[in-house]
Amino acid sequence: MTADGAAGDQRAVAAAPNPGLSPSLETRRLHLRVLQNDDHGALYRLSADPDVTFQWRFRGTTPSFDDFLKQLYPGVLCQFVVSPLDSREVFGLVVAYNADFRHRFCHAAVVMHPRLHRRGFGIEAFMGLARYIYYGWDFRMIIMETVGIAYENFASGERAGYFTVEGRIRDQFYYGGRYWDGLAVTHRREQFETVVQGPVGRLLTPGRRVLRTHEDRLI
Amino acid sequence: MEADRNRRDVMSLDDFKRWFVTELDWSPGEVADDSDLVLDLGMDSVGAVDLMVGIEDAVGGDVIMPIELMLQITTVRDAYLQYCALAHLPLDDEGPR
Repeated sequence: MTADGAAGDQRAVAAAPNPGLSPSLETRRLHLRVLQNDDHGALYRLSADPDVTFQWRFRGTTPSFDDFLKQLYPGVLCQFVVSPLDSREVFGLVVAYNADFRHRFCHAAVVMHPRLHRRGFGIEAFMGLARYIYYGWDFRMIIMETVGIAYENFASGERAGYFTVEGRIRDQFYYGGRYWDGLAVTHRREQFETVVQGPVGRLLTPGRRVLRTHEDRLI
Repeated sequence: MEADRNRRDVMSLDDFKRWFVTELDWSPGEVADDSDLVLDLGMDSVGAVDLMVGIEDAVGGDVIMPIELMLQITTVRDAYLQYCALAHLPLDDEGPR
């Protein structure tokens, strides 16, 4: 190899994007797809689900369908319906919102059908969103605001280095006969780059599928 | 890849429980067949990711743990049965991925 060739290779390496990043919206089992009109009904029903509503934006209230639609898009940077790879079934929604381009961060939220809670699919969906965000924007961190009762669904991720709890408002929210802390959680770019080297990275890679074992809806 | 998958012996339930407590950081040192992963063992979403990835590795061949199998897991025995199912289901080589 010539000296010029070596220098060229070094420039190519320096310019290469992070291999963990991709604009792909497919994860190992899920597809993040653009929200369409025929998804609105399923998302409206999900927003009113008793196991979801108090932790999502409507906090137990029951807006009209029209009011629900009006609140779906303001402040949104990008949002995607979460579906299995082989169907359009609505599993949930991932949203990036309130982007701050000067200080280079955005907020994100994940809402999943209750049957999918504590099964890892919310993390898979979030990591698909984070990969897309960090690929497309030079953000330093993604901020999630959550409630203690929801945080319990993924709390061990802090020990594993997936995210950091940066702020806590003690006894902020009332649900189920008690007060729960409000939490500000960050998932920083360097955390993303680290965790995709471990088991979480598998969630973003394709693999070999077995024959379908179901014919109908999963949830 | 298919040959690699078929070479692996499928674990017995007792072997699987030993694998479970060894491979999963969040597992206590002992588990029973009917231990509920969430209620008894404290599995959260991150633990579920470890379980999915672990079962995929145990089966081999870069096979994806399907959503519908994961949703059928409540207890350690369920996890074992779905591990066995994944090890035996035919590959979808006609699929899109």
